Amino acid sequence: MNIAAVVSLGAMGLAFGAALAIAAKKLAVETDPREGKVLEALPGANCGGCGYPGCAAYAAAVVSGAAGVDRCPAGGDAARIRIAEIMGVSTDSAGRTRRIAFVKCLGDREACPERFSYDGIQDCRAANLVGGGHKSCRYGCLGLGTCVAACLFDAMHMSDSGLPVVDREKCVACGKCVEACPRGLIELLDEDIAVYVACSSKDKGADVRKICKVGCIGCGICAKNCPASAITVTDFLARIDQEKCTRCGICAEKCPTKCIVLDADQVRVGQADSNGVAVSADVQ
Amino acid sequence: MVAKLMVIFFSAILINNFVLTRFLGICPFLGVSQQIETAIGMGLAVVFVLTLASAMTWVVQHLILVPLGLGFLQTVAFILVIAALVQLVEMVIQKVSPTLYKALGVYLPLITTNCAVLGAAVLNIREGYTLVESTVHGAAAGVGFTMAIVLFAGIRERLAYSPVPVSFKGFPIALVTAGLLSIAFLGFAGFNLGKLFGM
Repeated sequence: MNIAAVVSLGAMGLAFGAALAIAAKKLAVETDPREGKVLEALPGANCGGCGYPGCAAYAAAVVSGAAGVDRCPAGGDAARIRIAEIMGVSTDSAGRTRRIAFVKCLGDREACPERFSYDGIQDCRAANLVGGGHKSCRYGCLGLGTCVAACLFDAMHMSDSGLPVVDREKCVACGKCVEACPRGLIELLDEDIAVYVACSSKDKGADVRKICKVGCIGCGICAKNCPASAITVTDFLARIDQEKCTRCGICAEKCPTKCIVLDADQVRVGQADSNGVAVSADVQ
Repeated sequence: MVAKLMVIFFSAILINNFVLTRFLGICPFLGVSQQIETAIGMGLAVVFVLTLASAMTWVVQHLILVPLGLGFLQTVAFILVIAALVQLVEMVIQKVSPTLYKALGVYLPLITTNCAVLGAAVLNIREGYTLVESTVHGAAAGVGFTMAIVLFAGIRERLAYSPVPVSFKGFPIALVTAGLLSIAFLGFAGFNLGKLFGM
């Protein structure tokens, strides 16, 4: 047996081991033990909805005081309350209204036909660069599914007619689809809103009429009939202020192109219109 | 002296590229090359480790193994040195620069068992380089690795959007592309670097 071999290798091993052990102590980076607990309370999806690159980064930010305890959309109320417990801060124990993604376009292939046949990279961002997109409306949904691919929670799928559909249960409003859409069509709104304008077209009414059956023509009928004056029309596009909205549903009823989407479950009975006449909930 | 260093430097990058010509370090080359940003991080970490490891292993070979007649322990001893070195480097980076650690700290353990590092160390001994030549060779090997992995990442980013046949999607087309890249680098074979640097 080669003694020199055993001894020298053994000695090197011991020397390096000792050096590493000493270095580990001297170069130890102190981490707050709360960080680990906060990380456990988070869903671990690393979706980035909090604005930080991953759950570990958000946990570090919470512990260092840089971020509030309520930034995680995927964790929801459960995570918020648990993190507040760990950090020893107070937060409302009541549930907060969830937000989900809404797609502000109704122009599927039937309603808004294509201008030309597009045969390039099957990604909305790429299609958007080619001559203003292959859709007749240059503000509308291109239907190639970049938002669906960006969703980390399997909450979106593309309908057969070429529009993305959001699964209200699975959506956690992390914002990935909002970033992905090159036309900015997706908005995060409270899940209990009654109406929203499902169009983003800033073209003049006559032009919209030519290219899309369900686009907003900026006629202003909704704004005129809103009892709470919650609707404004700018750039030929109606916008609803959800804070002022009284959920009467009149705008959706009066809209000539039916571009305002109504959620019948959220419409409130007993709202009076500007003439003092009660509005029923059967608004179709 | 400088001429020889230049020859060593450029031959390790272009003519004897560690990944594309010597086929060392294929694992991180294929594993970390889906995006250019991560590829750059990995490449820089490899340069760092290769340079230090080349120097340290040379010292161990010539101050411990050869004087004691233990040349046959080269492989084991080198791996020991490289593993300890990478561990130490990771600790130092984590302490000294948390931002740098966030950027490439996660790649360091991947490099420990990377055959490119051991390969460079052994090649240094086989070619009979001095300490300076070994260090330069290690650094150049790292630069060559970085170049190869960044080039490959650039191609792979575009491959992700291309209409690849279903049976080739992902790994298969990556391997084919790597092979083609390797063939492209054959163009550098036969370069007379010695003549270029007036040796």
